[in-house]
Amino acid sequence: MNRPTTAYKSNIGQIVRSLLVADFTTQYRRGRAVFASYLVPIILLFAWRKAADKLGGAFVVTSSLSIGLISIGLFGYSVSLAQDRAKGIFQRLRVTPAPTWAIMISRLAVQLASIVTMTIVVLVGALLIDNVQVGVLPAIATVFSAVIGGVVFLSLGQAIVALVASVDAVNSVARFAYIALVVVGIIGSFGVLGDTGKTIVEWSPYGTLQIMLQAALQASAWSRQIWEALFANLGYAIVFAAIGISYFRWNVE
Amino acid sequence: MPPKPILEVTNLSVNYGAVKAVDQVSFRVEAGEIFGFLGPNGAGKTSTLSAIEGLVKPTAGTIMVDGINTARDPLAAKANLGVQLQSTSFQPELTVHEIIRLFAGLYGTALSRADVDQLLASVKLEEVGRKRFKELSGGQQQRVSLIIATLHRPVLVLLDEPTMGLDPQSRRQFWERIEGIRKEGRSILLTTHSMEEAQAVCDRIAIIDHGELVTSGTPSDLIRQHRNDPAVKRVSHGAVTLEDVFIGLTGTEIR
Repeated sequence: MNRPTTAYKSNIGQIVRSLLVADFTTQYRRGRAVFASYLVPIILLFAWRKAADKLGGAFVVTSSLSIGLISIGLFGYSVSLAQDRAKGIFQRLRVTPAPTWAIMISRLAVQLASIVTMTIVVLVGALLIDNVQVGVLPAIATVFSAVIGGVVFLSLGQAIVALVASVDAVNSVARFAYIALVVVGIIGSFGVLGDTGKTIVEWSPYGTLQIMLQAALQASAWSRQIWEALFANLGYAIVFAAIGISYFRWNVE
Repeated sequence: MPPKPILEVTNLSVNYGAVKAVDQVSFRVEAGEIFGFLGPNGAGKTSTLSAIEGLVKPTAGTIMVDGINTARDPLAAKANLGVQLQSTSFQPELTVHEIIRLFAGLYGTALSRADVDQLLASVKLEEVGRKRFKELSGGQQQRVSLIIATLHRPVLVLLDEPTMGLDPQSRRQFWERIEGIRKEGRSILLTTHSMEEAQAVCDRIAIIDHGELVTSGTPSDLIRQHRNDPAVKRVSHGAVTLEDVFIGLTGTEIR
């Protein structure tokens, strides 16, 4: 009997490429869910069309973008991650020679691409719907800021999936976090919650993202406040990612 | 010098917190062998397989796959394994074609569309390439899973209850394919609750219960060794079968 031989040579490039093709195809086929995360910021651009003059175009655009980023991180990413985990899709991938970091990087790459696309859609929408004109450099800076903010909310989504086992519970916690971040963020930014409330909101992931996006949109010089917002965002991302990676379970059975 | 085993499990223990799922289990699978791993529900079969597959970290012991220590070089060990999990799940949004090409890429095997068509045709599934996995019947899903488990020509194929839920025709076809894989010189480690199937197809069998290896040997050796055990005689009706030995050694209570 001939004994088979297996000459295995790790080909990480091919592994990552295969995962990316599969994950981007999956994202493309999940069109409705992806469209929904783009829809909310576009609806906001419409809803605040008449208020754009009063509130300022930057406020309208940054609020729409922030809500879109939170949607992608909390719903687009965390819920799909929890669903795939519950179905055993990760377990099937983990018995192959694909490193676990490659499986996760591929997922995150898809979400980051989604964030960049959503940011461009919102900027174009702001121009067409609210007549908010953004130059090329501020637009690039806005995309960059959106990616940093997106990483914060993807990390938060990862932390939720790490700490919560069932898909339903992940969905509920993500909804709660979404409402807490968005509603408190918007109300707080108007000063309705008092000075302390406003300060808390400013330092929340929503508030620091708003500061960065506004600075990017208005091509502001880098002030101390913007640096603080950037570092706060990086800090949030590190803390959430640390929780999300340390406590993540590939299988909940 | 005896030939190197394809799989060598030595003093394997797997604990989940305070629960001992696998306790000091040792066995070997030789080249070209079909090895059955039997046990009641919760006996430790899937935990043992999961440790070999790298899904759970052993508490103690060593696992060598074709001479590769799974703890030291897990990815190389995984490259030598073909795996069919108990409940197979692939991305529901992907077609069968796309799933096969994904897994081929993960094993470093580049497959063209024509290659995938050929693979599907080899198991009479040429018409399902564009369908989503969830749209296939149980038997078709099983065939696709086996294609994916073996497309990189692994030295050892691990099958966790592979015939569960299949109709008799699909089971018959499945065992023919397993025999074909063995004829290529590959080894197969499988778990099953069907004693008739185990007796018919396995070269050797190990019975595990409460995480411990109870006995192992060829089906006929196990029957010969245990046919006079009082517990086996109590449950047998006429000639002692592998099922009598299994129930005699692991008890009659439902787990």
